[in-house]
Amino acid sequence: DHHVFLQPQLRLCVSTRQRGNGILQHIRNVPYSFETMVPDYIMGTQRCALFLSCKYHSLHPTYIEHRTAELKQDFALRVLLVLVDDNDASKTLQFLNAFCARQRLTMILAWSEEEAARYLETFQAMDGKDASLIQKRKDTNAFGDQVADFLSKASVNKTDAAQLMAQFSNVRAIGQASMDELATVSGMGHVKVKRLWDAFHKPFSSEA
Amino acid sequence: MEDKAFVPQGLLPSYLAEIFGQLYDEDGLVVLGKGLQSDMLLASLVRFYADPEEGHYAEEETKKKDGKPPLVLVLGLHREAERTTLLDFLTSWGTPPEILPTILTNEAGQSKERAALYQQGGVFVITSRILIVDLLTATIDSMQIDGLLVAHAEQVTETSTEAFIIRIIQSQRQFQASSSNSNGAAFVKAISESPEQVMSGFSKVDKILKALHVQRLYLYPRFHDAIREELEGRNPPKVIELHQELSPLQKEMQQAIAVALQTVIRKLKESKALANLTLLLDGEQFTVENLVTNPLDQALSRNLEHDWHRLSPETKQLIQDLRTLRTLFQNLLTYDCVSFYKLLLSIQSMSAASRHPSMWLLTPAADVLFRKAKERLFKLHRPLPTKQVPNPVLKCQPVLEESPKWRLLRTILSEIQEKFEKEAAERAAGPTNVLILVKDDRTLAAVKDYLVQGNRALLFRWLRFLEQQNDRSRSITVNGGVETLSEESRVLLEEESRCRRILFGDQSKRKRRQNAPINHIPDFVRKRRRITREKARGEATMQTEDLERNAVLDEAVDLAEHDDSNDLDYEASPLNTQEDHFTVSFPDELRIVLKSYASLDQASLLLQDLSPRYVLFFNTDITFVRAVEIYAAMADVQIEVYFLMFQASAEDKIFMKSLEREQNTFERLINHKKMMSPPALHCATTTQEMQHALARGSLGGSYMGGSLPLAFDSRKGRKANEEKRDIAVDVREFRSVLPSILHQGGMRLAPVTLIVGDFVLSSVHCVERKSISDLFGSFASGRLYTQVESMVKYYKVPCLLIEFDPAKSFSLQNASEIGVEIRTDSVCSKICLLTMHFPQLRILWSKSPHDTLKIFKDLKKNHDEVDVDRAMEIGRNELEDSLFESSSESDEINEVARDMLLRLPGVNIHSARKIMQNCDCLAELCDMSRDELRRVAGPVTGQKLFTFFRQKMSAVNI
Repeated sequence: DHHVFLQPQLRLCVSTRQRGNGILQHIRNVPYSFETMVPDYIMGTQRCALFLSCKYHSLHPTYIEHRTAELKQDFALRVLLVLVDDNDASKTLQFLNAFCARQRLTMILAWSEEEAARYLETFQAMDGKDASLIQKRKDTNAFGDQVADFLSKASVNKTDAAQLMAQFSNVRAIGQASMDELATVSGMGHVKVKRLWDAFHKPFSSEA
Repeated sequence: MEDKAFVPQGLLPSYLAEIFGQLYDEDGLVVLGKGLQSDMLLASLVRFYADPEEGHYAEEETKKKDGKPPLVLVLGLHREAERTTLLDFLTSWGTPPEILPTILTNEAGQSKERAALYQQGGVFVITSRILIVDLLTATIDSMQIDGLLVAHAEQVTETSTEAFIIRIIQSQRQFQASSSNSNGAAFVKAISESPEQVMSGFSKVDKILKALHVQRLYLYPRFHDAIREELEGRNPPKVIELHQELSPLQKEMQQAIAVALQTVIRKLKESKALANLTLLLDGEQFTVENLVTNPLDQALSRNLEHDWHRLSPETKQLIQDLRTLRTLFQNLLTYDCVSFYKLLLSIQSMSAASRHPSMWLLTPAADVLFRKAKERLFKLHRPLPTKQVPNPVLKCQPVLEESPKWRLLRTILSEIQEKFEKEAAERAAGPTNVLILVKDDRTLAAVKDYLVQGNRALLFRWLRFLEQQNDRSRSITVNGGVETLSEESRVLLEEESRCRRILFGDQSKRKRRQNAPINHIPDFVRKRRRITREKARGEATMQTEDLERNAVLDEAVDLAEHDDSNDLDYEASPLNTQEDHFTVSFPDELRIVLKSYASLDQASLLLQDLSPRYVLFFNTDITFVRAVEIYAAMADVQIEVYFLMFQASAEDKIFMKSLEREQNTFERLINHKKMMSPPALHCATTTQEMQHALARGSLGGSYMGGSLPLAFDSRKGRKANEEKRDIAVDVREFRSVLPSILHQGGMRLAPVTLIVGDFVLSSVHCVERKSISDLFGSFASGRLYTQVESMVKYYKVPCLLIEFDPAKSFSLQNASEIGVEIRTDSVCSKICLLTMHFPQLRILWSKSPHDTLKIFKDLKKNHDEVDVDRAMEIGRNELEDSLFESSSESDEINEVARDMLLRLPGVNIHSARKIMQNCDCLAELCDMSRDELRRVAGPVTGQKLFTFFRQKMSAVNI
């Protein structure tokens, strides 16, 4: 019965069945302990993982189906952590892709024991973290990088961006410049000038 | 051959007429040497198929039952300039406007209107993306299409949209032909002017032929007999090559750039960033010389494209530096001394404002480069102390080295003028034209300024440069007084006013621009400062110094004023105003026309209009050299051609190398052609409908209007036991290979505009596809999070498809990237976070697009077919997304601007939406006041934007 593990856990819980799995030796960043439980791993709250190596799967193709069935519906996130240790894993992966989609499993591939261990560590360590890391862009860039990044979308490379800034001194002035003025900047040919000017002056959308 | 009569007589060089005949006889791919007028060939083909009177149609009329002109589609003209050139050629041949090709690009109307246009027949210049959608939605019927003309055939690969298009058309037509007696395959005539691209990669040319469904390969290098005869036999132009030495300072700078480049290469090698990078760098070709002559840095970036996310920022910066240094090699030759120094300074200040500065700027070589660049502008020297002046001040002596080539150009022009005057008697009435061809608009402006104003132009640039530099010095003096300035800055401050006095005379007051900078010092303050400074110095020095300096500058002004070439009529008009030349009657005079390659897509029309007697290549370019050769041969006039080249420079080498490379490529192509077996042309793709239809022995009945349902048709009911094969595909996905492969695999595609997801497989499955670099990119931008968020909202099984490149290693990160500790910016962490926040999200891992096809098929099993109308409707209300996601063809107006908007600091999808509602374009946004910005973007973002738009790049002091 693994219902006790649905409470927040301070350590990574490892099923006793996983004893001897090579990935355990790479878990160094979070504490872990062995428990008797249904899933192979429990990371934080409401999250569990089953571990499968491609080699093992090709020898025991029905193993994963049994294990999944045992899980029932108790966890919000059910990870299938797959170690790609087979050079020709195509068939296995194709099966697993469809299987996971059917069985409400989230498949994650790892190409080495270290990588597999790192996923488990990360799930444990990230417990309770919000998504801001993958939600917003970092605005901490240096001003020069910001300008280069902004203008790169109009196919202006960094050197051109530098020259534009040198000539017009700020982004606003670049936006206000006419095509002729833009063309006076070294390196800004006909095509580039047109593209840049269009980017600033053509309306965002036709509906406006 | 009698067909030739349909080619506008005498307007094609004979070798093009020969190619025309061959292409007409048998479909194929023509590969021409650079500049050998492939666009003229294309235009003649278009004319031939478009002209109902004398062209193709007249001959074939009996075959066409409905009396409509043939429907011919022109693919591969991606740039607007190319399309304009095509129309220009046709117009210049007197093609009636009603039969000019119809241009269908993204801005074109709705599919219904297009269907009506196709019905009428004629020639259409169309983008691949519109055509593929029209084919799949049966807006255009393959059976109507008589043929395809493919420009830029080098870009057609087995996975390109063009190949997809041709495959659909040919398989449908062949299938139809096999079951009825109608006409078979449509014709395909393909043209390429890029032999190197055709030959790059493993048996690329065979793949292109196969993708095009043609068997014949026609090769026309410059050394082809027919071409040599044409260009060298009858009337070769008289060629004069002039090799100019670099100035000593330029030589030293060139050397310094080479050293810096070597340093960067060494650093890159040391970085050992990636296996394939190291492999590339260790190749013999990675030398300074090759870097200058080949755009090797581009090859490098292309090669690393898929691994780009793996490179450290430092390595990326090094690769960027390679590019910068390569362009510096060229800029050194083309820029005037002031602009070049300004360029160096701007690179330096940009680097200083970056998180990862360019390391080469810190090397001794860079130091030499900057010092020498400055020496070309001015010299500072301090006279030895004397008894009267124990502490002499630093003196500035402007040098303003002019480009040696300018002087050479002027010499040639005066020679031409002399000749012109001598020949006055024998010459026919009317102007004699001298055409000067330069690289780009910038060089054009510089040459023009020099010819018109002489050294005065350089003096103006110098003054502008001083103004810019001194503005900064002045802003410092506001706070700390003159004493805080370096001695050099002080000297330059004085130099500015002297320079101005010389250019405008004493009486002219210093005129500042209207929008004076904030740190502008009021006049009286400046005057007082100057007075105190002058007092501090000895009276005597003041005078002599003034005299000296005036002498130098007066000489420059003098040169400019008594510049004999001023009598010449200079002109640099854009091509479209060429009519002006002929509406006015011209006296006998020498007229000089300056043109840049950049503004000129096609030289032959200009040459025809201008009929120049002299052509001066200020910069060399194979394409234009050949255009002149062809013009000379065609027009039967004697032309004198001058090449102005820097000796032992990047310019020299690049030109020779490109000729050599082209020749080598053609030789390899010729050998390849000898051994090549023509590709088999059977269509491997017969869709299941085709097989079913064949089995039933009927075609028309079950399918609407007899057209074959390779395309998706949502209106039709399907039998329950039929295999599920319908997939709704977002139209933007047609840029990738996957749709083509899905279609080949028997899937039926509905190309639609999807707001949520890239592919909708069933009533529950929605897929967002990410290549590896996309995955990293959209994790970084936060876009993936939003995309998954909306998929989760509307679909039961939202899927993220991570699709690997079959040519690259099948792994997300290599062992060294995993590291010892958990890093929040690693891809592991991001995937964990994503799955933690969206436990419903399924991740599909695919080794290649072919694997994706299998995965899609598996997923579709036992699920309802996709409801396309619903899929399109989903997310419509999510306006913040639809603003960026929706790209119905008419709404693609400014994707670039929207992308840029999202790159602005503080702007996210929500604020972007508000901004777009409140202002029309980026220019308007930049110009908004702080309050307005706060209103449209919110207080925090508004403030960020205000700062971003108005912040200056802190410049490095010279």
